[in-house]
Amino acid sequence: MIRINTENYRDEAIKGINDPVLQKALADLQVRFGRGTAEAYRNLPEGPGLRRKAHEIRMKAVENLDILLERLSEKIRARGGHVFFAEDADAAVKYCLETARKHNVRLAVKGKSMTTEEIGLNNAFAAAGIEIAETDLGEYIIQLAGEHPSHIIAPAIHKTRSEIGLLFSEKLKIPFTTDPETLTRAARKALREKFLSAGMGISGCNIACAETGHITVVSNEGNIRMSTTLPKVHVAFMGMERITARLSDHDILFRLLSRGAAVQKMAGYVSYIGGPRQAGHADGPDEFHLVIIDNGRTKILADEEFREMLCCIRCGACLNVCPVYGKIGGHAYGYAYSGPVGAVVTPLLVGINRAKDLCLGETLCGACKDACPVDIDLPRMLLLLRSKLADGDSKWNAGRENTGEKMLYGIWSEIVQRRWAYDAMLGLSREGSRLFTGKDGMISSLPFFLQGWTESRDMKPPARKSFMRQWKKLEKQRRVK
Amino acid sequence: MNDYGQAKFLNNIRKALRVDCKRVCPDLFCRQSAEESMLTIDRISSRPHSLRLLLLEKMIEAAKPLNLNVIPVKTLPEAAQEIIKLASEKKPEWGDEESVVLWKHPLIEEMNIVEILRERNIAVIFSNQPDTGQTERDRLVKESAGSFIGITSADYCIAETGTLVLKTAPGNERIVSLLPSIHVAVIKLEQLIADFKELYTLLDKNLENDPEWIENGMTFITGPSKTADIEATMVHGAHGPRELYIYVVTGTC
Ligand code: SF4
Repeated sequence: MIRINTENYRDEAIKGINDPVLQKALADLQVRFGRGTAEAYRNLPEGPGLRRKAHEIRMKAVENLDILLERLSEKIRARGGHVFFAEDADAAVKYCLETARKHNVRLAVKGKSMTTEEIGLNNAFAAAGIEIAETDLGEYIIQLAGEHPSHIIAPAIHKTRSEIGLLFSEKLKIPFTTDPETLTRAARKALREKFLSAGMGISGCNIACAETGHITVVSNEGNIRMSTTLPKVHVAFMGMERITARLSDHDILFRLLSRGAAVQKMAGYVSYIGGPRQAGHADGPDEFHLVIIDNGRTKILADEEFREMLCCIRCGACLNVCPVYGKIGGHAYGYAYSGPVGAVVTPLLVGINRAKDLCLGETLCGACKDACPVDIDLPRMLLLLRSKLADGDSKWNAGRENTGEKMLYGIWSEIVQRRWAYDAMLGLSREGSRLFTGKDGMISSLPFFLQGWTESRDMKPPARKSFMRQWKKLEKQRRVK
Repeated sequence: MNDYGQAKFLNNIRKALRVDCKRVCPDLFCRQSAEESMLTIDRISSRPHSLRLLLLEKMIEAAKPLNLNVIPVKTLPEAAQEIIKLASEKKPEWGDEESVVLWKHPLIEEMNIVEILRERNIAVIFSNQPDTGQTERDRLVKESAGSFIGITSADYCIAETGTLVLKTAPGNERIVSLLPSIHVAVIKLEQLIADFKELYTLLDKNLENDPEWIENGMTFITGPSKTADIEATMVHGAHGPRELYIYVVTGTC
């Protein structure tokens, strides 16, 4: 049920690179958000160093996760809410489906949530014959088109206004238009009806607060407020790490999240939700369920070298600066999470070997670390994943990707440790390379595994005499003089 | 007893962290020092009128790029007049009937706007009638969905970002600031604070007096609903209100 296509990285990446619409959209996105975010950090009254502080807050939460989750669930249950702990995707999906069946839900409205993408909730509901309407405009467009999101924050960046115009005229039966305002109105109207008739609202959770026992949801459109306020049942999904200890931690975290996600000083709507409708209130759902999801996260938690990844607040800022994402787009990453965050998280969640291309594809330029509002060292972890692919790691069930390469480097290290062996090898390659030198004095094709070197360029053959030999000769001549 | 998977789940976390369930982390929930928070709260409560007006100016600046209208008025009746004017200029978005939905709030009651609206044949809907059962909820949702204006106050308003902070309470429903096409908020100048740091200090203080101060909900609203999902073009009124007006009552002095 869960869509994992990480094996198709190369094909999807090529598709992305050859799609001119996507290329333009990605370039625009990166100019607008990438640069804006860096500037927004500089303009913080506390300076960009605030990101380090945020990192510490997140890390402390991660290291005390058990205490925080216990407190959160206690508080929510005290207000009459339900809390379910799901060890994997199946358990989470099953719980939500059962809740929907219990209430005879035919239609559920959903606010954007990458966690529900991760666990494949939409497919499961579809299979059970219950409609889930995506309500974020971008997600709605993608859903109507039968596609998958290509960016965490801007899921429909790969679609042009005329494509959307055509889609809406066909599915919503409105006259064709390319005017974003008219198209937005059409979606507003169509989704309004869904909000008012849906039996269940589904949301994610940005950063819960343990102290007071609230989840928080953030949006600009107001769709998440609708989904969490109007239907009689609200089910919220949160990755177990999306929590902080104190209410006041949100000061720094939300300010940074808003800057990282969309270069805003504060997101349009931030809602704290702590349970169902209270006695005397005429507002909110009658039932509130929080599903806390592990789905591979304790494994990340257990590895201190990767633990830092759980600080992530899924803002998408790293996508907006990544030169690789900026070319290949989000679909290549083959799972809910794309860009640098996906390149680290996805291998850890679905298997390092299975998603190997994701971390091998990134360039290690370091831009993502500078863009991250919680200062996560993504490049370090990308490198670490690569070393697992090279050496294997039983803890992660990671096998060596390329035994030939490994062997070769083993031999190489033996050679470079011995002067005579090194010299002999140089001599050999000098002689050998002559065999492949063409009339123009260049090497333009090498055999076997060496061909990679000459595939896209010619190489000069090594000098007839090595530098060391020439040097020695010169020294001798000098002394003679 | 069914603990909904909690014990096992938390145990897995402890194993991963290699910690004991009996451990204590004394400063985990520690708030900022009492002294620092006292200073901040003092600063807010003793902020002179002139400085508050400066904050208001700052907010008006911050509001511009957000398409948020911040309008200073001297008195509550003046705010009422402005709102009436607004109502006469705007057309309902859904259907032809003009209706306004209101919070039950002292500031709004003091404004005496209900009579004037009714005189102009604009239907008035109150949130939270005494019967707060299921039917009341359904009524409110249905009626608010057709309203073209929703009037609320706020608990606080943040100058730096133009953010309204609204706690959910009986009579102060979230729907009122969400379903109508236009959201109007009326606040007093004294409710204006500088930034989020001040807000969280105040919230901490409220929690100290009453740990359940937030109850089941609180919303921050910064500008009207917006989206840029179609070719990154900004459009207001994706799902929530298309327009937002904040009237700040500055007093006559
Ligand atoms: S890794 Fe950092 S920048 Fe990337 S999504 Fe997570 S928090 Fe945002």
